[in-house]
Parts: sequence; structure tokens; C-alpha cells
Amino acid sequence: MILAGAAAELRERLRDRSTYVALFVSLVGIGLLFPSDGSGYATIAATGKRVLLSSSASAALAAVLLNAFFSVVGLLAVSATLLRDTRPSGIGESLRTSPASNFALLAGRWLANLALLAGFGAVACVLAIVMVWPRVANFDPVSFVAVYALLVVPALVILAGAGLVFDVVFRGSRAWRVTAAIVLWLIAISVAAIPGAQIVDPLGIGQFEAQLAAAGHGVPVSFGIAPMSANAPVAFSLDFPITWGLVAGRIAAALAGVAIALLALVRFPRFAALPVRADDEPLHVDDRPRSAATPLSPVRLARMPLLVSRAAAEVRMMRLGGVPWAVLSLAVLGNVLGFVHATTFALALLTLVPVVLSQRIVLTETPLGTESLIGTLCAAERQYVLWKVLALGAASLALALPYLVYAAAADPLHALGLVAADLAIVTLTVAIGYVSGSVMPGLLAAGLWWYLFSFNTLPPAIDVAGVHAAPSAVAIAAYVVAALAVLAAACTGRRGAALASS
Amino acid sequence: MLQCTDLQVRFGNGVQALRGVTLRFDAGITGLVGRNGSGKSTLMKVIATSITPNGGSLAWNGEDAVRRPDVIRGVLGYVPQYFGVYQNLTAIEFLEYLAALRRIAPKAARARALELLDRLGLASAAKRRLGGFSGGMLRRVGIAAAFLGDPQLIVLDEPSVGLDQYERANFVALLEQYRDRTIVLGTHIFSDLAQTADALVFMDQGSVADSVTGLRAGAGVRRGEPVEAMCERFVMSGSPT
Repeated sequence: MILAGAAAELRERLRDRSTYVALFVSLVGIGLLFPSDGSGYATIAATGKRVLLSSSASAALAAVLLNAFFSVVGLLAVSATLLRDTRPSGIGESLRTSPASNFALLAGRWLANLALLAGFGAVACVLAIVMVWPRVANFDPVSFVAVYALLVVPALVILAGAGLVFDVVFRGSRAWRVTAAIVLWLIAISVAAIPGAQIVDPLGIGQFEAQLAAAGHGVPVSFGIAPMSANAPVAFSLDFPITWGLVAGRIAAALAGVAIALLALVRFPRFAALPVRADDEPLHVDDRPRSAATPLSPVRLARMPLLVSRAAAEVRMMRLGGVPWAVLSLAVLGNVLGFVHATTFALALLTLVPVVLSQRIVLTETPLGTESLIGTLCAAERQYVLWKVLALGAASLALALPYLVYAAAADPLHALGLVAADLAIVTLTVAIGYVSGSVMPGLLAAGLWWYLFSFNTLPPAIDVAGVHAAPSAVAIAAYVVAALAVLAAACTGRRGAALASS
Repeated sequence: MLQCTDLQVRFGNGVQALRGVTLRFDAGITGLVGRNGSGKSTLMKVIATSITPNGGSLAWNGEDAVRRPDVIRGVLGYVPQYFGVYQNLTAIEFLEYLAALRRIAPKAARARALELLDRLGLASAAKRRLGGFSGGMLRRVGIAAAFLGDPQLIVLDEPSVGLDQYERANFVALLEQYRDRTIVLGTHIFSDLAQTADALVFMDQGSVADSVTGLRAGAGVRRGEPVEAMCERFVMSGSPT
């Protein structure tokens, strides 16, 4: 029964697109950490010089990123099962009225959590090897895998158990779940950053930094994406030795993960006591008469409040929940702790958030959703696209607002470039989805877009957001024009067959 | 035999959904009739142990099912009003999963799931993902889930909504096969009740307003009135007679 539950849970999640979005994001993040020798930036620098990584040090770096990333995203991904099931569209009622014990149900979920995270870790390991191999002299895959597994596996065991605890404790609340995940992430990162405290660093996030500090021999070493001269000299080579202390610490961490899961399994209250959530928010219905007025007619302008309320309804449909809190908090923390370059993070928000939000919009486009109703309320096909672009653009810009303010204060052109990039990717994502009738091409386009910006040799003409160099006014103008052209093309196109049929 | 005694359910928002419902369900099909919000679904949720009542008792063959819901869960087949599914599983995978939760052996579960899907006209869709199913198809998957294993108590909340005449006939035929079990059928499709029900319970504002028994034997039909007309008049006027 437990294995059957685990298999069903795992199948359900493996066939969910959002699973692969999370995996893709983590892989792109890992790719960013390994710039080539001639790159315009470095992730580890010692007084303006590069630090060369051995196979084991590369593995430690990849593991650190995966653990840090998964300690929020992975945790949230594996902790929403009860929330999902207790909605009217969920299977909570079938589960709670089945003779299966709570222990069996939850044990199956824990196994599914573990398998899912382990699968992510394995795929990330393979791809990290593919990325790192050409960039490390005398690459040793065995050493790489050993260090990677040592750091990643115990962390994933902890996260799988923590996901179960989160489910049990925050069963109905997404906001509390997200908030708690961020607080725990902050604690984990803080502990990892304390010199000498890595012995109580169960997620293994601080292990690499500890080794880096030891290898620096007093030389100031920075960990984070920083500009670097293309022909910068090498400060030193970094290795990551496996010590008995490290092995013992990681075994203890894995056992702690099992103990956390057992705690949830034993302490779980009756499944039957879970509430069935009221899932459907009241749908905004526009019952005012529509006219064939031109977009800029006085009648149309007089209805601006109506337009605003339609855009607000679109944003509500995305069911953002705790996402803004999570993204904003991560952005602020990421910047404060210096893990990522501000511009890169802002670009991630501005491009990847629409991707994630697209997933939510897809949910409303199912036969059980409200999208077909919304579609019938639009006076014209073009309105459908316009609302999506407005809503997604507004949401992603709002999420990145702290960075836009920061960027505008330092360099207005830079902020303008970020906004242009946002307009372009939001338009592209929605337009492709609209025309194709499927969200997948839009997701792929957005993902490829973001990955393009992580290339080390990005031509300045394309680098509209100034990730690797200062943005140019010509590039910004070109992006805005391209976005408007895509929007115009989508507005005159036909809605896709899949959407129409749903 | 299922015995409900003075069942009380009050929701968190203050709504009193059940007000002292006392009923006995014997083997056979008992139809629940009432307007929307009359307490039919709440009563069925209590019987299916999805909701714990605030007061009263529920007993299955004399055993207290409020304190020990497993006495019902082990024998229950249940189609809730909103039958949720894992959207990314196929119909056969989902039914196999639910069968595993009911402790049915994998081989037997697969055979039974395929048999039910075939019987309900879903054989060709067995390997399609549930996310692509229509509302009527999902209802049929729900019905199949309720009849997995060997349920002794079957609770069906609006099971035939969205089914066409042909599929409804299949459903009725399936019910006939299980007539020796205790079946609680809540529906607004009165022709289903006319064809199948042995007894009717009329509910209004969380209470039992009236009940009729011996329908199949003709004893309960008052003044020779058809069941459908009786149900319709109750819903429209609040009185079955």
C-alpha cells in the first residue's frame, strides 16, 4: 500500500510540467556557477583573480547551489500534497474515506518526496558533470560524484522529511508554508555562513565556503557572481578533500532527515480531520454592455475602471498565494547575502516569474477552469491577449520592484533595459501560448531566453538588461519594438485549438 | 445495516447542516431527495466518514463508526459530490492506486478496474490521462472507484450528473447488481430513483421531512403516484404528499 501510494504520487508529479520548470531553473543556476576561464564574470574571486576548481571542488559548488535552491523550491515542491488534496478538485475525500492508515498514506508521500528529490539530484549531477568536464583540467568523475553525493543526499533526505512536516503543520495554508520555508532557509544560510559552524550545517550549504576560506590562506575570497577581466590571472587552485569529520557529519544529517520524517508520521493527526478547502474564488463577471468602440474612443477611456478590474481579475486568477513573498524574500536575501549578482537575479525574476505564472494560468484553462468563461467575456480576441500580457507584466514587474528601484537609482538605462526585457518575454510567452493553444512552447521560449542570458559570451547587442555589460539604448528600443510587434501579431492571430476546445 | 441517530453537523461558519437526523438504512437502495442545501451531501459525507458529526451517533452493524470510522471505511464505496482525481495519472493507474488503498491485490485490482471501465464505457480511455477527461467521464471513473473491491455500503452523491441516457442505463444496471448491499443514493435525477429506489428520504433544512419505504413492492407509492412526481413536488413545494 505504501509503495502504491509512493508510485502514484511520483507519477503524478513527474508528469507535472511545473516539476520540470523547477528542475530546469536549478540546472540553469548550476550552469551559471561555472563560467569559462575567459568569461566576463567569476563566481569565486580572490582580489580580482580567478580561483581554479578541481573536480571535487566543482562538485561541492554544484551541490551547494542545489542544496541552497532546493531548501526552498524543493521543500515547497514536496510539501503541497495535502493542500492540493483537500481542495474540491483534489482527492482528499477519497483518501480520507479509504481504509488506508494515515501512516501508510504519509509514508508513501515521504517515499515519493525522496524519489523525486533524488531524481532531481541525479539529473543535476549528470548535467553538472557535462558542464564542468570541459572546464576542469584532469577532470575526475568519480571524485566529482563522491563529493556531490556526500553533500546532496543527506540534504535531500532532510528536505523530503521536512516536506512531510510542512504538510502536517501547515496543511491548509500556502502563505505560512512559504513564510516558514524562507525563515528556515534564512536560518540555514546564516548558520552556514558562520565561520567554524559548518559542523551543524545539515543542508551542507556552508561546506564549500568553509573549504574556500581554509584554502584562501588569508587572501580575501568572494563567493558570488562578480565582474572579472577576461585575462585575469589565477590566484590559487581549490580542492575539496573528503575527511572523516565530513563523512560523519553527513551521516548524522541523513539520520536527522529520517528522524524528521518519523516525527511527522507519528505525530500526524487524523487525515479525516482535514478541512476541505473552498478553492474557487468568486469570479469577476463583467455584465456591462460592450460596444464596438475603437480602443481609444471616449467611451473606451471612460471605462478604464472596468479595464483595471479585468486586469485585477486576471491577477487573481493566477492565485499568487505566497509566491510574491517567496520571490521577494529570496531576492532581498540573495542580494544581502551576496550570493548572486543583483542584475542576474532581477532578470531571473522578470523572465522566470512569467513562466511560473503561466503554469497557473494553464490551470484555469482546463475544462474545470474558468478560462473558457473569461474568454467569452472578452469583446474581442485581442483583449484576451492584452489582459494576459498586462497581468503577467504587472505581476512580474511588481515582484522585481525592489531591484528596479535599485537599478534606476544607479543607472536609469539599466532599469529601462530590465523593463524592456520583461515586456519582451511576457509578450513572447503569452503570444506563443495564445497562438499555439498550449503553454508548453511559451514555457520553452521563456526558459531558453533566460538561459541565453546566462551565456558567458552574450553579445552586448542582445544583452538588453546589462547582465554582462552596460545595456545600450538601441538594444532597449529594439526589444520594445520587437515586443510590440509580437503582441500585434498575436492579437491578430487565432486562438489555439487546444484553448478553444477546452 | 446503517443506523444514524440524532446526527448534528454545524460548520465553522455557523451553518447548521444537519439537525438531529435519525434514519435506518437497510439493504437496498435508499434515495435522498431535497433541494440544494437541504443537507443531503452533508449526511452522505457523515455516512462516508468524511465529516465527523458534532453530535449523535452512526453505527454500522451495531459498531460505533464515529469513534471507529474504519468499520465503515473497510466496506465503503463512495462517490463524493466533487470527485477529485490526480490529473496526470491515467484512468487505470488512478483506479489501481485507489484499489491499493483498499488493500486489493495488484492483479485483482487491475482486472477489476478494467472490468468496471469497460462496463461504464471507458475501456478505450483506460490509458488516457484523467486531466483530459470530460465531466461525464470523470463521474464514471468515480463510479468505478466506488465499486472497486466488494463494498457493502455504497454512498453515491450525484453519481449520474453529466451522464447521457446510455451511460445512465449502464449505471442503473450496475446498481441493480448490488441491490443486496446498503446503497445511499443522493440525486436530482428522479428517473434514476424511479428505476432503482426501494425507499426515499425527503430532506429539508438539515432534517428529515418525510420518508417512503417499500417502493419496489409498490407499498410506498401513495395514491398510485409515480416516484418522479412525488420527488418533484417535494422539491417544488416542500411536501411529497
